[in-house]
Amino acid sequence: MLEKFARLCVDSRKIVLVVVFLATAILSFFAQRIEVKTIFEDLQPASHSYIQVHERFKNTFGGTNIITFMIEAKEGTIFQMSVLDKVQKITRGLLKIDAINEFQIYSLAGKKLKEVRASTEGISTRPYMWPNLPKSQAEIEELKQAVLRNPLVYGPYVSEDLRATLITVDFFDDLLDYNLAYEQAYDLIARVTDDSVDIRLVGNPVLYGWVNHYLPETVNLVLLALTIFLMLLFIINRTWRGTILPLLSAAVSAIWALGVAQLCGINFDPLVVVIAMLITARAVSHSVQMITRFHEEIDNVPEGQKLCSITAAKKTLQDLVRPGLLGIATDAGCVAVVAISPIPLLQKLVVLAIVWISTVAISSVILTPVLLSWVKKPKTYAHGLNLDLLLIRPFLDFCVRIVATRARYMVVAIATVIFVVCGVYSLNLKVGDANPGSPILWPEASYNKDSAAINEQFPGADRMFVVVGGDHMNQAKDVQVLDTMLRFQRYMEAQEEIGGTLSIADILPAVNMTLREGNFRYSELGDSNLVNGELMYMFENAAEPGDLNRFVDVSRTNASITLYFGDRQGTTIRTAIARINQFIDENPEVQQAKIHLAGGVIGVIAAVNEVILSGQIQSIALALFILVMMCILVYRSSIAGMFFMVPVVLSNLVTFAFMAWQNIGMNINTVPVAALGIGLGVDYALYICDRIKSEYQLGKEPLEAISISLHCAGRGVLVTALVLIASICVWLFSSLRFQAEMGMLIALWLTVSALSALFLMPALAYICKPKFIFGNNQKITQRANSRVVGGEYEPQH
Amino acid sequence: MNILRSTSGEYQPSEPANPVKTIGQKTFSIFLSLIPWSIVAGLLWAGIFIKPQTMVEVVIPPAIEKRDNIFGISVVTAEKMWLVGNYGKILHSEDGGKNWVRQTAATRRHLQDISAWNDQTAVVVGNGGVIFITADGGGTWTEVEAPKSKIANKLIRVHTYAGGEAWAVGELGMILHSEDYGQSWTRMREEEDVIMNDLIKLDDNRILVVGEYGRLFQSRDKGKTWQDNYTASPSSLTAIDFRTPLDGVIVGLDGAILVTGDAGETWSLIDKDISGITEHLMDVQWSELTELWVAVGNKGKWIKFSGDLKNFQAGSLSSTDLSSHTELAIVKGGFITVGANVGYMAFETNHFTDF
Repeated sequence: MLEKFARLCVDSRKIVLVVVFLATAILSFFAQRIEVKTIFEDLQPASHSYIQVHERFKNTFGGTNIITFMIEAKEGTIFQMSVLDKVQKITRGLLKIDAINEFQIYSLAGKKLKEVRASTEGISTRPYMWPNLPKSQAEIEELKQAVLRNPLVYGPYVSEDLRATLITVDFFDDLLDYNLAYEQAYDLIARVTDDSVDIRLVGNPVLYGWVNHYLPETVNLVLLALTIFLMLLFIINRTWRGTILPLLSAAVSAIWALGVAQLCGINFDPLVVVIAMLITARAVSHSVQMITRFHEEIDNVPEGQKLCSITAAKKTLQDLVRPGLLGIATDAGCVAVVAISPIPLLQKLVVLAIVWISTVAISSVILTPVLLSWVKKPKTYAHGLNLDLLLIRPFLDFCVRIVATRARYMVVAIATVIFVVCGVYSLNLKVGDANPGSPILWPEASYNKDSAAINEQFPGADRMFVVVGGDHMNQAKDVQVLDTMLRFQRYMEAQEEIGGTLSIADILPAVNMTLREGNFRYSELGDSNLVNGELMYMFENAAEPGDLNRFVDVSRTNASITLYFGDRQGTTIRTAIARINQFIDENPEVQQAKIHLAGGVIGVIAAVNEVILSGQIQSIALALFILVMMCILVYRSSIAGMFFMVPVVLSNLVTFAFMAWQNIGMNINTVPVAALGIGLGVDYALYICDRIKSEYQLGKEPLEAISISLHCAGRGVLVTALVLIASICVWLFSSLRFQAEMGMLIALWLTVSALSALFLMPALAYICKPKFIFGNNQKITQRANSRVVGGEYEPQH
Repeated sequence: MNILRSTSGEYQPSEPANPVKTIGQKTFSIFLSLIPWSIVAGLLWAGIFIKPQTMVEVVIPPAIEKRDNIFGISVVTAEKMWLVGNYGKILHSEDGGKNWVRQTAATRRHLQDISAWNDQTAVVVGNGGVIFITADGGGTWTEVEAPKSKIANKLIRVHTYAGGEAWAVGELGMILHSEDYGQSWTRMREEEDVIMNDLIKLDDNRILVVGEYGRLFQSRDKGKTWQDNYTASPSSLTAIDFRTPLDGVIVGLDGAILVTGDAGETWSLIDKDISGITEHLMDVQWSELTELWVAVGNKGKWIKFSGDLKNFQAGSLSSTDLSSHTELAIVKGGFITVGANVGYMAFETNHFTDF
């Protein structure tokens, strides 16, 4: 059936071409309109219980898009007019940033940070320097004393050495545009900054703003990679068609995929551009396989035969359509299973990737031979440098020699050792970020430097909140509930990476003490629910409505405890979560109130980290399942499934081990690459083994069949691997550490896949002689016979 | 295994594949075809059931945690001392405060004060009117019964005297007396809505108690009857101490300092312009060694002055440490003060070191 399809495609090549051209033209219209942006919410596994808590409370207890400014005096403390003036300018400037939540601005110059003091009428509150700055040195000194007195400000918002102060602000998630926020925030800093202060800035919108900032560089790298790729193809293939056609198929599949993605409303995350490279790599390798085979076939067509190109194209398509489609179907199937992940970003990515991979079936497997059918038999080459003779053929001969000699056992032994060593080593793979700072950027990137500086001066810029509450109103006033909250905070602060915690239970003792004439012996919670309710009322009465909202909801049903984290490392977060759970185990319920995990940036990352490891293992399992099913379908053998598992498992293990070695954590950013990479390694092996099989069926000796396969399909493998690895290396120079690391991973992936296809698979095939390759079936023999007898030409190897 | 053979381009059908398999071969091939499925199943199992394990390290918090409020201190010798504080915390040191050992009392109430007769017997009072005693250096703390009010019961200070005598004061005009090392307690004055903050026994019969709103209560008959006076200070009085039977000092909120030279018959208020302090003062003690009065209080303030009420010197424990302190204890040429933090300040250097 596949053969008929192949013939049909080449016979009606003009129609195929017109259809492909029209589709490409239409889809390119949509493709160019695709939105390039990162949406942090897309990373949230919506079904996870933490995310549900986060979504419910994020607007009051703190979302994931909080940005933090640190204003640091270069000399002396912040209590000097020039510095305070800058604090005020930034605070006021924030209001002009789009999508800012003006009720969530916390700054010395804002309305929300207040001093609580006793007065004749009870207690009163007063913003520190809103609306006006202090006017004299005496007033500055008064401000300083007021700050020092308030543990909710001194420490969390003004550093212990008084040299720095923070301004934090949240955004309305649905209105937020990272790029705009990033630009406006840095604009604001540029307007205000001078020699007297250092102003630092961190937060998710800023981080993703940086990613977008490097977008032009990313595009340049893509173009550079493309140039290198074309040059190398041209040098190696020595023909224009060998250069242009792979490029064409890559372009067509990219246009189709992006066009369809745009139609489905999927945005393109600049962080997954490496994935795009990975899939493009597949498109190219399929196309190169076609061209290599076509060359071989056209050489076999006797000189002078009419329509020799068409014949060769037909033969190429006919023979390669099976491994080609099998490779693509396996890739697509393996990628599809990643959709079981509850992370929307991955689900969207899967749609994009499947579409992309599927288009390779048309752009490479069908379009390339169809276009080749117009190509005349080459008479000369475009240049004289024959790498085939110098490099490729000797290398492939070497591959054959390895299989032919006892060295083949050595190959299997080495692979086994690598398998075991990498298997053991990959157990060290860290889930979550492996280093402090953002793994997306290099450690010396200004964002990471800012982040380190802020985390050094302050309890921590990244927050998590847990919610204490239940179904009953006024639970948050309960003595035991509040007492449990304080115990929880004390317990959590014992963990080194947690810089501090904050809740309503920290505020009430201060209010109580103020009401008790400032007697420190009364710096404690009220001893009844009534008293605590009164303390809350007193505080809120003195402050503005809504000032307590970040601590407790209006019905006093749920209260928040905010934990400040000094870093986002996987182990830090996992330890914190484990400790929280330990506390919950010991205090399952207090007055029907429970502790609910977990919101804020750290809560979301914790949820992600919890799903990615099991998701990844499940994905590998299902990907292997798909592979086995495909093999059963095509080769009617589950042994074939096991056989092709070898390169897949090997490349996954090597990659994991590499990640563990290089301290690259399995986190929200790396997981798409790792997940989609699972299946994208098998098609090299498929081409090689399929060719061995068909040669063997044509009556070759096993070794001869392997040799032919290595020299044809193997050449395709070697050429694509070389060209792709060389062009991927440009990513090492990316300003985004993430892209550099992922580039390295993909290069590694391709190397392992290529090497296992060139050395390991032939060696294994020769040693084990599996039946699905060296089958001795009557039918196959007959078919082979009849094909040769009734064929259009005789092979002349 | 048979393989296809070709001779000069002509193909020969080969012998039938798989001639006859032995049972062993069959089993082996079934085994082989099961391998991929078992790998898939194993991985799936791992993916569903294996979660990253976290070893939760047992973090042993320091004896005095960052969040701790220590309200009371009792120094037996320069080496041996006790601290009490929030959530039933009792700490004991045998090396002058370098190391602290936690002692357990069965309560989570805040403990406000401790006083020791010697290094074995001591008494602790706290919120809710709780009283704990020990007779074995704190190895066991036993709660004892004491009279309570129905309204409020925070006990604030306790003082011990020779012969197993102890006095404690607290909310609602509470004055408690014990003569048996704290085993039993008697209420010495009827309930009244005033907080008693400190007390001193001047001789076998005379007891002075200071309280809210500048009030001073005196008994000349060992607590049977009480004389109620308003001092010149409108602010609440928090602590009282005598350096001789005649010369005493009372401190209070808003920097109130009252002094007497006639065994407490008359008290005069020190002008704040002279003392130079307006912050709350919470405790006062006489340092025999340096012959100085010293008082501590809110916002990290301290004040010291000579016995003849001259040379007032006020200062801060540190420029950024505005922690409040509730008590102090003279140790050698300086004092340990407790509150939002615990530390030692030497009189000579005025340098404060956090424990």
